[in-house]
Amino acid sequence: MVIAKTTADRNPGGIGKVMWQVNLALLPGFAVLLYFYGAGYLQNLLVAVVAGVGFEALALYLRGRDWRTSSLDGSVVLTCALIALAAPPAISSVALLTAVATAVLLAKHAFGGLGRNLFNPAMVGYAVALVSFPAAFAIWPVPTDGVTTATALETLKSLDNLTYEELHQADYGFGRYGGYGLEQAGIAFALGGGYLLWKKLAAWRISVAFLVTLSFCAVAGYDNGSSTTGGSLGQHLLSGGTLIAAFFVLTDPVTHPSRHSAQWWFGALVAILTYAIRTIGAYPDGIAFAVLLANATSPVLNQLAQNHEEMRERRRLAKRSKHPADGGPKQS
Amino acid sequence: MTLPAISRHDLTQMNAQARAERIIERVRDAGVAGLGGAKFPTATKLSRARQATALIINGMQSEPDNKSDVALLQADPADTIAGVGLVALVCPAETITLALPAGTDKALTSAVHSTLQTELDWLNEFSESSRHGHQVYLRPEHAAGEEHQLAKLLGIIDTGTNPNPDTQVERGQTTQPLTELNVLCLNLATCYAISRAVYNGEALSRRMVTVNGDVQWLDFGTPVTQILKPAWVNGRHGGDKGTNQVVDAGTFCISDPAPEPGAPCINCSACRPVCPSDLMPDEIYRASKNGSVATQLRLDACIECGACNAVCPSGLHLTQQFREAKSAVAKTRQVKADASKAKARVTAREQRLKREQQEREEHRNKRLQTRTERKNRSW
Repeated sequence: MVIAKTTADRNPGGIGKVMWQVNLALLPGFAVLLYFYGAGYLQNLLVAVVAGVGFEALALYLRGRDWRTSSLDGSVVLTCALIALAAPPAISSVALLTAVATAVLLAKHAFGGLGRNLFNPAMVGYAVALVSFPAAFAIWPVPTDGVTTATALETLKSLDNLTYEELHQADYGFGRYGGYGLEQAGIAFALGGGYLLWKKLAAWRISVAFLVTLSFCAVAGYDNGSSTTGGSLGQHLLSGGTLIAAFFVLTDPVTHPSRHSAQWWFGALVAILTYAIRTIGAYPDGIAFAVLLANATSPVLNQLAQNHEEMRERRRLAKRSKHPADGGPKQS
Repeated sequence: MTLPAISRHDLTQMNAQARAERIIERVRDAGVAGLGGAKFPTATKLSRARQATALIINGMQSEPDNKSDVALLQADPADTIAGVGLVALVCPAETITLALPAGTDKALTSAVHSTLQTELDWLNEFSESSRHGHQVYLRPEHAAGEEHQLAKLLGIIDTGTNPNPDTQVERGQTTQPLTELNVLCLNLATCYAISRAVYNGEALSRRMVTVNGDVQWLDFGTPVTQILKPAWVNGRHGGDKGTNQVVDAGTFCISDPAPEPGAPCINCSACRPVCPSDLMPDEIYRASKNGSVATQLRLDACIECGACNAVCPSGLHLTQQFREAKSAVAKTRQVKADASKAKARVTAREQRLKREQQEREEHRNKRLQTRTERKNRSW
């Protein structure tokens, strides 16, 4: 009989359990993608995960670590699953393997393995593959009609002579907001993300700051759908990788700042960069690049937040210390 | 060892002064000591708290593995609460706060409420006035078993009674005993021991100990290695290695050693909300691992409760690292203090030598002068 909970009962139960819970939270989104795109995503996931675990085991073995259990702690599966689900269905295995190899070997293990990477491995892998194989990432097969189309954001970007309304009628891949089936998948990913926030496995401040700032940018930049439109609110939130990134990529604890005030700024920064890259930059969906840039600023944001908090604490102490005999606030 | 029992009827026949002295005397004879870990003689504490304005009964169990206090309350609520009543007879505090961990069984909490009320009704019948109110306080979110933190959390010590709360209590650096602030804070198990000592005449010779999450009664003097081998005393998270230890009043918890860390820190911040001192254990850990002194992150305020260890998904030994960092800091401070002391000594010696030299010269000059004068006179 449990008469009182001890602090030890609050342990999430090891890195592996945390990681597998995050993997579990990806399932609803994965199921929706499977429903709309069929086996293409299953193929993505299998190739990425098998290769990723292989690379992880290899890297751990070469580094003289315990490769048998550590390669199955769920972290590498999460990295590979994120790449597999962010890429178009049934993408060429070469592109996928490049992404996975870069993520695991370069972004993760070259920096010292779990917990020491500066950049989000999944996004490094994704970005490298995106730059190396642009064609593979621009085409999304729509299985129902046997037609392959460009992504929604890509279409929006390239067809500058059409208005928003015309785009809706002209293009198969263009759903109400995002690409074919991607709105539903985005919402399913958000559901999984809600589970993470509920279980306190993700920093809610970052997700909220990101989504709010992106919404603000989208509303401010939208001009009711002219040919040079920045995209509507719904499109920015529901298309591309917005929702999966908001809950699964940005909230990677290793690469985001840990101080609360810095987390707000981090989320907002990713949103601004994403919007800028999507509307002004050369890539239709810029989340991967935005995340990487923000990852690089994460230590600085954390340090700034720390300085700020220390300054505030010193001021508070100086104000409240009324006993000169005590020597006033302690200077360290 | 058995002492003559003092019945409730005996207590009602005495006046307040005699009653308090009788209770304190009995507590002293029975050798009751603080069972929360500090082993402070309870009789001394009680006699210092005769003017106390607040009474806290601490069952918070901030040690992550510890379940002893609540288990005791569960096993024998009547005796435990009777002990609280005895303390209330000694300590004139207006309210009694019984602090229990959040998540304590609801039925148990309400039983404690009614038992405590009955007890207070009983003692209000014959003591001067009906002055004792009581509350059962459940800790909000994290372990705050350290008595200063608990008193602060309860709003009992604040700017009003404490000369400088920011630098002392909040930062966990206080050296001022709570009894000097007119607060009496006693462990729940100590109250039980007081009750047994007074009403049953039992000397303190055993206590309830949490052994790997289960509680059992252990006699004092039992070698901990007989219970578990290898064993860590007072928690696997921040405790001591109990190689040559025996169970005594301060042993509330015996556990297997903590396993080696399973993974590095992944920056998940799980350790922050549980820290009773509001520290950032992960940042202190990283800073001290990197060799920088983490005093600006308030390392001094760490009370080594082990809560961060207990929640760490990587199973890092944070508390042990902090203890090392603290001793490194203390060593540096000691070296500095020694150096400045030595410097002061050398300076003092130089000054003394200089002064003596001067004095000698003055003396010599004087003698020379007198001699010359004498010479001149004789001429």
